Amino acid sequence: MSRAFFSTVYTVVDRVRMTAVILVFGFIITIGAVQIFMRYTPGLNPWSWVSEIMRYLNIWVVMLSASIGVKYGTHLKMDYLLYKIVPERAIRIILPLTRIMIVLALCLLIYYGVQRTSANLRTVIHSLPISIAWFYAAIPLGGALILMEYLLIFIHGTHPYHVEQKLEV
Amino acid sequence: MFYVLLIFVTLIALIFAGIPVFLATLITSILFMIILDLPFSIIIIRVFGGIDSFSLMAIPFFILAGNIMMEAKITDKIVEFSNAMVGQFKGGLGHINIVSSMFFAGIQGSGAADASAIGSVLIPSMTKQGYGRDYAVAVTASSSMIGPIIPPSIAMIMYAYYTDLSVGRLFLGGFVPGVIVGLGLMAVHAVFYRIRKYDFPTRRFDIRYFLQTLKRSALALIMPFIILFGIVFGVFTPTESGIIASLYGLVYGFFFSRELTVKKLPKIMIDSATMTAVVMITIAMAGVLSNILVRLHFQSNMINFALETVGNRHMASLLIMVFMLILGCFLDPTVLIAMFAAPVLAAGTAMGFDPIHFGVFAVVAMQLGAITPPVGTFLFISSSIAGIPLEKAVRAMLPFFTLILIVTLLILFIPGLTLGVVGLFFP
Amino acid sequence: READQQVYRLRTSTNLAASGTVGRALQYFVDDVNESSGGRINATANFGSELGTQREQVEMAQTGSLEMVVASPPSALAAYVPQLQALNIPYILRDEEHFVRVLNSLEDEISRLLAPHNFVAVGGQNMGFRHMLVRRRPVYEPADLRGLQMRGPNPVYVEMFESLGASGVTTDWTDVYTSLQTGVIDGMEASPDMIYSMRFQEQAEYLSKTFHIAASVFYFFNREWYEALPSDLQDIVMESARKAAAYQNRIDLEAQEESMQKMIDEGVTVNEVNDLSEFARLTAPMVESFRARGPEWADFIDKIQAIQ
Ligand code: NA
Ligand code: NA
Repeated sequence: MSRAFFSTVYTVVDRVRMTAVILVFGFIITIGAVQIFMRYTPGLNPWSWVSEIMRYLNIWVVMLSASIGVKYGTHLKMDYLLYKIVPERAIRIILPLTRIMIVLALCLLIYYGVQRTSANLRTVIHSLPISIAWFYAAIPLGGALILMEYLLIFIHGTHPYHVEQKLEV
Repeated sequence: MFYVLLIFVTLIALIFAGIPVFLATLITSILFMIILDLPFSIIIIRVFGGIDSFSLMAIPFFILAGNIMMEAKITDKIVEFSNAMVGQFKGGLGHINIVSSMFFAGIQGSGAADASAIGSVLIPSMTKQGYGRDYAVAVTASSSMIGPIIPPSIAMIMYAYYTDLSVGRLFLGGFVPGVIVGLGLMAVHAVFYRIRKYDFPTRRFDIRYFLQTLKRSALALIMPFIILFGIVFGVFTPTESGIIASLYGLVYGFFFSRELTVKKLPKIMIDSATMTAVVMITIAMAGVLSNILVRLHFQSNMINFALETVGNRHMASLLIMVFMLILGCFLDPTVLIAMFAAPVLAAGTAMGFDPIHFGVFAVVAMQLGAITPPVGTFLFISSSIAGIPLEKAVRAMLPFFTLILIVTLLILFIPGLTLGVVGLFFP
Repeated sequence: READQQVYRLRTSTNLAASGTVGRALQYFVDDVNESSGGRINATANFGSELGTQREQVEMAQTGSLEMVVASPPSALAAYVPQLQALNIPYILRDEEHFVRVLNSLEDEISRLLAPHNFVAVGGQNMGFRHMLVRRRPVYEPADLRGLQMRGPNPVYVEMFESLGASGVTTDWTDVYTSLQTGVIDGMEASPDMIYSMRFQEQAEYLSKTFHIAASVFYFFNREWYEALPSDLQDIVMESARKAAAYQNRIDLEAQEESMQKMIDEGVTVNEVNDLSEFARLTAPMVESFRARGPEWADFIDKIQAIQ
C-alpha cells in the first residue's frame, strides 16, 4: 500500500465528510427558517417534526465537525505549559501515555457507540416513524473519524494532509 | 468529597498534559466510571443527550450568524463607526477596540468571535501605531468579555438551558453590566495610556463623518434590536432568533455590503460547524462528567458548604466566585457552565437571591476564566493574533482584569444593575 | 446465608422537582423501601434534570446505571412501544376516579409490552386533569376557542386544538409566561398545579375546566435487576411502589384543589364548560386516527376503553 493510496482514501473521506456537514447544516437552517415563516403565515401550520429533527441532525453536524476540528487543531487545549515547565525527558514519557489514553478513550466511545446504536434499532423518535439509531450512529462514526485524525497526527507528528490555512475562530 | 477532589485534580492534570479538553473530560469520566462501578453506556447516553437540545441549537445558529457577519464585513462598518465616535480621544485605537466590542456584542454572542473578529482588525493597527503587543492583547481580550455579557450571549443561552431560567430575562439582565464593563475598560485604558506614556496622533471629531458612518453602519447597528425585541417579546425563541440573525447577515452580505458570494458559503458553514463542534462536544463530555459528580452528591454538598460554612449570603457568594475563578484558570467557561450552572443557581436561590440577578452574576464570574492564564480562550486568541506567547500579556492584562472583577462584585452587591432593565420589560 | 447479607442498590430518578407531588412520593418510596427492607436495599433518589433529560434517565434505567426511573408512558416510553401515546388522546379518560382505575388496570399490560425492552412498570400516578387558561374570554363551548392561538406541549395537543377550532403551537414551557404577556399566544393548557407553579394566571383571566387530558407517570424498574432480587425483596419493592402511588394520588388531588383555590382567590375566573361531550365529539376522529395506526394501537385503545 503506498502513501499515495492512503492520501487518496483520506481525500475522499474528507470530501464526503465536508459535503455531509454542509448539506446537513444547510438543511437544518433551511427547515428552521421555513418553520418560522410558516408559523407567522396565516393558514399555514408549522411541521411538527422540525424541532426534533433539527436537534438530532445537529448531533451529526457536531460529531462530524469535531473530527474536522482535530484536523485544524481548533479544539480547546493547553500544551504550551507542559513544554515550558516539564523537562524534555519527562515529556518523552508523558506524551506516549497521553496518546495511549486518547486512543483507548476513543475506542471505548466507538465500541459503546456501536453498542447503543444497535440496541436502539427498534427505538422510534417522537414525530416521525424512524429509528433513533440513525442519529445514535453519529457517535461511533464521528468517534472513528476523530480517531483517524489523531492516529494520523500521532504517526506523522503533524497532520500530513492538512494544508496550512488559517481558520478564523 | 474525596472523589470529587480527585476528579478535578485528574481532569486538570490531564489538561496540563496537553490532552484536548473534551478528551481530558472523557478520559476522567472513564477512569471514575471504572472506580465507581458505573456502566459505560452512560457515556453514549449523555453525549447524545448533551447535544440533543432545541435551546442549545441557538449556539450553532449564533456562531453561523457571527461568521456570516464577519465575512459580510459588518465588523469593518462597526470599527469605522466606533472610530467616528471615539477616535478623537487620546488613545483612540484602544477606545475604538472597546467600543467596537460593545457594538459587536450586541450582534453576536461569543467572546471568542469578538476576540478574533475585532482583534484581527485592531491588534495589527494598534501595534503599528506603537502600542505594545502585550497591551493590544490586554485591551482586546478584556473587551471580548463584553461579548457574552451584552445580549445575545451563548453563555447565557447555556446557563438558561441548565437552569430553566428565561433566556430573555437573562439577556436583559446582562445589558447594563456589559455597558459598565465597556465604559470601565475605557477608563482603565485612558489611565494606562498615560502611565505607559503613549502619545499617538488622533483625528479630530467630525460631525459630518460621524453622520456618514452612522448611515453606512445603520443596518449593522439595528441588528441587536431585532434580536432583543424578538426574544424579549416572545416573537421567536432564542434558537429562532439565531436563525433570523443568520438570515439577516446573508441578506446584508449579499445585497447591502455585497461582500458575500455563494462561493464563500461552504467555507463559512464548515468553519461555523467546526466551532460549534468544539463548543458542543465539550458540553457533551462535561455532561458525562457532571452525571458522575451528581451521583457523588457533589451539587448538594456544594450548596450545603456555601450555606453552612459562611453565614452571610454575600460572603458565601464571594466564596463561590473565588471557587469559579480558581477552576476557571484551568477549565473553559463552557465546561464551568455545563457542570456548575444548576448547583450554583440552586445555592444562590437558597440564599435568597433573585435567580436572574444571581444568574447574571454567575455567568460573568464563570466567564472570567476566559481571560485568566494559563487556560484563557480570549487571551489565547488575542495573543496568537498578536504573535506573542500568552503569558507575556498577563501583566498588561492585570488592571483590565481587576476592573472586570470589580464590576462582577458590583453586579453581586447592586441587584438593580441587572434587575433594573428586566423590571422595565417584566414589571 | 450469604445471599441475605447482600445489599442491593436501588438508584431512582425523576425528571420532576423534589417539591412536587411525584417528587415527594418518590422520596416516600425510597424511605419506605429502605425501612421495610431493613437495609437490604439501599435506595436513593435524584430529582429534576440532575442526571439528564427524561429520555436519558429512561435509557439509564434500561441499561443499568439506574435501577428505576419515574417516567411518563406516552412521552418517554413511546419510543419503545409507540401505542403508549394513546394515553395522550383527548377525552379518553372521564374523571379522577376513572383515571386511577385505568392506571391500575393498565399496569400489567404496560409491563408486558415493555418486557422485551427490559422494563417492569408499577405504581401509576395521576398528575391531574388539564384545563385551559385563556387571556381574554372564558371557554364554555368549542366555538369559544375559534381563532385563538393555544399552546400545547406536543403535536397531539396541536391536533386537538385544531379539532376544536383553535390553532395550536408548541411554545417552549419556559417561554409560555412571556408569550401570554405579549399576546403571542392567547392561552395554554395544563393542570392547575402546573399553571400555578409557573404563575401563568398572572397573565390570563379565565380558567375553563375542559378536562381534556390527564398526564401520568409510572415507576419503571430495570427488569433484569428486579428479577435478580430475592422474592421477598421483590414483594417489598412492589408493595412500597403501590403505597407511594396511592400517596401521590392523594396529595396530587389536594395540590390541584389548593392551586385552583389560590387562583380563584387571586381573581382568576374559573368556569365549568357547558357540555363536555360536545368537546369529546369534536375530538373523536382523533381516536379513530390513532386506532388506524395499526392493530397494536387498536388493541391498546380497546384495553383503555374497556376499563369502566
Ligand atoms: Na453578545
Ligand atoms: Na475588543
